Amino acid sequence: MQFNDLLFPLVFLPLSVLLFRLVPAAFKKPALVLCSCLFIAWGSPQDLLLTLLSVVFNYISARELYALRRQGEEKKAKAVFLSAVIADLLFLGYFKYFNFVTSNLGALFKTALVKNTLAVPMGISFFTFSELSFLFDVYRERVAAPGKPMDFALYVLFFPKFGSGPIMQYKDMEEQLLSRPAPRLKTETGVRVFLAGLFKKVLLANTLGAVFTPISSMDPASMSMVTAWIGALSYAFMLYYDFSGYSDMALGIGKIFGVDLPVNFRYPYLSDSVSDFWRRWHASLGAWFRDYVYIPLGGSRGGDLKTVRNLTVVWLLTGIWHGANWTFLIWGVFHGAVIVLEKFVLKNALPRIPLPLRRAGTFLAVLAGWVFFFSPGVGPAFSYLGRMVSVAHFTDRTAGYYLLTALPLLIVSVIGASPVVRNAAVALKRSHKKWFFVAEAAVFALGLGLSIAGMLSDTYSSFLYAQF
Amino acid sequence: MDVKRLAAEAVRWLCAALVLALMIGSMLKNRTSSAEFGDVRDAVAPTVQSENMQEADAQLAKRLYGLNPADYEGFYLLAPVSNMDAEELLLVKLKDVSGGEALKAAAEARLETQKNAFDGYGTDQFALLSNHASIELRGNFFLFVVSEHADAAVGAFSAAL
Repeated sequence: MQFNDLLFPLVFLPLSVLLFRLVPAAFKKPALVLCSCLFIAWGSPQDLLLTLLSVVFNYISARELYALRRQGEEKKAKAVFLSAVIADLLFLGYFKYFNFVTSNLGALFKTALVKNTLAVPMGISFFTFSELSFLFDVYRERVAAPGKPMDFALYVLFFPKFGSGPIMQYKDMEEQLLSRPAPRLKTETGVRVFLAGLFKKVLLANTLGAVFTPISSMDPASMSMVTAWIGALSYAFMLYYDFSGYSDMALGIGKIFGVDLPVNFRYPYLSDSVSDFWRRWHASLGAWFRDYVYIPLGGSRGGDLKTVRNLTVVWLLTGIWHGANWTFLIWGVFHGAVIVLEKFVLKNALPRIPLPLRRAGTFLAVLAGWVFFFSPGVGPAFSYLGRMVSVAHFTDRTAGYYLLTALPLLIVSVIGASPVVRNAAVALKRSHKKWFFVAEAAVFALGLGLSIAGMLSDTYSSFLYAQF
Repeated sequence: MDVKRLAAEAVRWLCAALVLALMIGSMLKNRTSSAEFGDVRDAVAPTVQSENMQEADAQLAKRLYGLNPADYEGFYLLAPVSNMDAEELLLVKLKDVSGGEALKAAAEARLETQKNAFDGYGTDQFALLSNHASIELRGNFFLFVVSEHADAAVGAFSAAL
């Protein structure tokens, strides 16, 4: 099930909230686990089976290594920890990278090798990262004790964050939901944030998708420069509204159940460097790699060479995390290279460049990266980038058509990706308090009506990040 | 090693073994085909030839199925010519077989939409959609067909893989 299936906001979510509110405090966690299991099993019961096996495996591993450490059996604890981490990585690797590896090996040795035909379990990249962080935290004693099985199950399966994050650390979940007798529900704020996310996905991301899809199916060699730019810009904003829309919906649902999930997006297209971009875009993934890869490797302690090595590892992994394709690998390496450049070469020069120029430069770098992200292969990506700078093929009739149809949408998208709307709403709320609430309710009602109409007319439109 | 720990270890590795068994079982069950997409298309398309269908472009594929043809190794869609036609054929060769379930879901949703559109309105079309529709996922190839000759299409599809 996805948040933008009509069934979710109209049936599943209201019933889950009702169940959560009606059951006594002692049954609230089991009720949420049950709802989460239903959410996962809705599309594929096999996903639930695989996820539950992974949950049981990791919980027992964590309990064992905790007990062994308490008994002073360091070697055995390390063996349990390493075996669990390796098993988790093999589990993730099989579903995400097995076919990539076998098809490349097959091409190399000119033979057809066996392939995985099991569907990739929903949310696998996100829930295995939650489990891995839990194992690390127990092993490094950042978590006092592994807690009860129900607590761990809820931490991994909690349906608002299960499909596409944000990736949460156990201690944050524990503080808010697991150890509290009665969670602090924030229903009103939650509904608002959820609806804002729904509008982003259905009204903006899907509409931008209608511009991007036909352009993406064109041969870059026959495309004009203007069309290539419209395609790349449409994708950049579609991805932003799709994923930040999903994250807002997850945050909103979390609040309804009394959990503040980590904020994943902070106006990323206003970043003034690529390093800054990664503090604003999918921030929970960046934080995970920082806490569980970069810092354990030594971070920036130990000299420039080691820092570059650690950054390279992190960005290679970030690229691979997004998918088994050379394009994702290049995308990750590209971001890593720009960050290394910013950290070591442009360190003193960057602050002297005016802010609007820094922002524009960062956006261009990110946009170039997105071309690798959406292209079906490395060759087409370079060909597409070539068209974006090919002044000789500046424009044509197709470009004129796309410019007329997409320009208003792109302008709205740019405004929406900045704090302008939010700041205007805050100012209006202050100056016209009386009618602001009426106007706000009208805007939400109109948005909801349009979103439902959009969901009804679109046969199927999954979240882009669900595939990662 | 005490009994409790031994039991915990056993359950832990039993979980891992079950996952492994699922993976190996699936690999053995669904082997992929190295057939060329063009060959499979040339074998399947003539079996359902009809003036009520025409080849669709990427935009129509997105509108009807929410699919982007560029995401697949091969994509061929024959869509109904008018709103009163229900015959349809979608043939896909996947780059990544793990995307098969999403394709199936998209085809099932499309079939449901069409059934709802014709229910109580187009008797013949509804009967065609109810009795002569097939959704076949065979490793890296996928076929969705709505036609009086759906069985022939499925036969040609199987033979071509």
